[in-house]
Amino acid sequence: MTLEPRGNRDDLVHASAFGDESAASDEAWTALAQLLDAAQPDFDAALDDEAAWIGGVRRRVAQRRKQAKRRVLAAAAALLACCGAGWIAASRMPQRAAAPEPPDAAPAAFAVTAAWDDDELDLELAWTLRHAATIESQWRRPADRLAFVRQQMDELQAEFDGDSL
Amino acid sequence: MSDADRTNDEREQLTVWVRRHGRAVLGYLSGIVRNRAAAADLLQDVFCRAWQARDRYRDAGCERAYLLRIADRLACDHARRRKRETPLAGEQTELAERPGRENPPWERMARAETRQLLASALDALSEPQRRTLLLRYYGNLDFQQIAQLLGSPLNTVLSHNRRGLAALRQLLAEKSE
Repeated sequence: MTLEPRGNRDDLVHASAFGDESAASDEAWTALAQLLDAAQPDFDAALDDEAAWIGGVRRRVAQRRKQAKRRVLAAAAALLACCGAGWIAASRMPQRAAAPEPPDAAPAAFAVTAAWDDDELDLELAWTLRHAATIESQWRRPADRLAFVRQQMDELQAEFDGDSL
Repeated sequence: MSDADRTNDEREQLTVWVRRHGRAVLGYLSGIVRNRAAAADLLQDVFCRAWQARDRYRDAGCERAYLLRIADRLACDHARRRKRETPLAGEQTELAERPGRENPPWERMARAETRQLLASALDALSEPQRRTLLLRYYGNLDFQQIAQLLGSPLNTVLSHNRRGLAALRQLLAEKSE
């Protein structure tokens, strides 16, 4: 009497069980396929009027296209509105920034008080206006400042003396 | 090629798609959504979407797999929506016979019995098992293709197939007793 190795026996048992299961699965699969085959005439009936059905698909495609177009247009309109609002806001910003400041009150006050009747002050003001540029340019050079002041004082003195004579 | 010729060609192609795969896709949808009206509506949607995306579709000879993939996505979306909705009382959810078709009584009885048996067989399956088995039947796809279509690992698909068939076997055994 010969004994088969244990591994082989296990394999045979497993193969046999697997074979049984496989056969039963095939049977179940065949039964399901038969049921689905039997239900097929119902599906054939649903597509009896092929032309009408395809027409329906084409209408649906057209409807979807229209919807997509409408969505694109709505999105474009929204984008345009946003851009317009942004542009208006941006165009207003520089105007606000460049808006002139209210005029200073000092020059107006000066203009009112400028109509005085003091001859001496008038003379001094006239001289200052005449020499404003020179004074300013000389004043910016500290080394000449003293000499300049002296010279101007002398000139003024001479002018004053001449006037008084 | 003029626009009219192109339109005619496209119409012809759509007709070919419907003729070749319409019934299979409708069968798949009916098996998943279990409602004839909803399945017919989804079928139009499937062809509509497939038609709109036809430029992106690479003609690799797997038209049916392409259509079934769209059908599967739409059916899943529909099922998700249905979960959120509350069905009205008496709403028809089974695969019922189309009204208005005059068949002999014995034929109607036989069909009703078949439908009943099919409905109970599909009820016995979980959703992934149903999808796997129906894709195998209607798409005539191998497990690798089904795994790709469902976006699941091959072993998972094989497991769904095996368990689904086991559930059917059990149902058949109960019916035969």
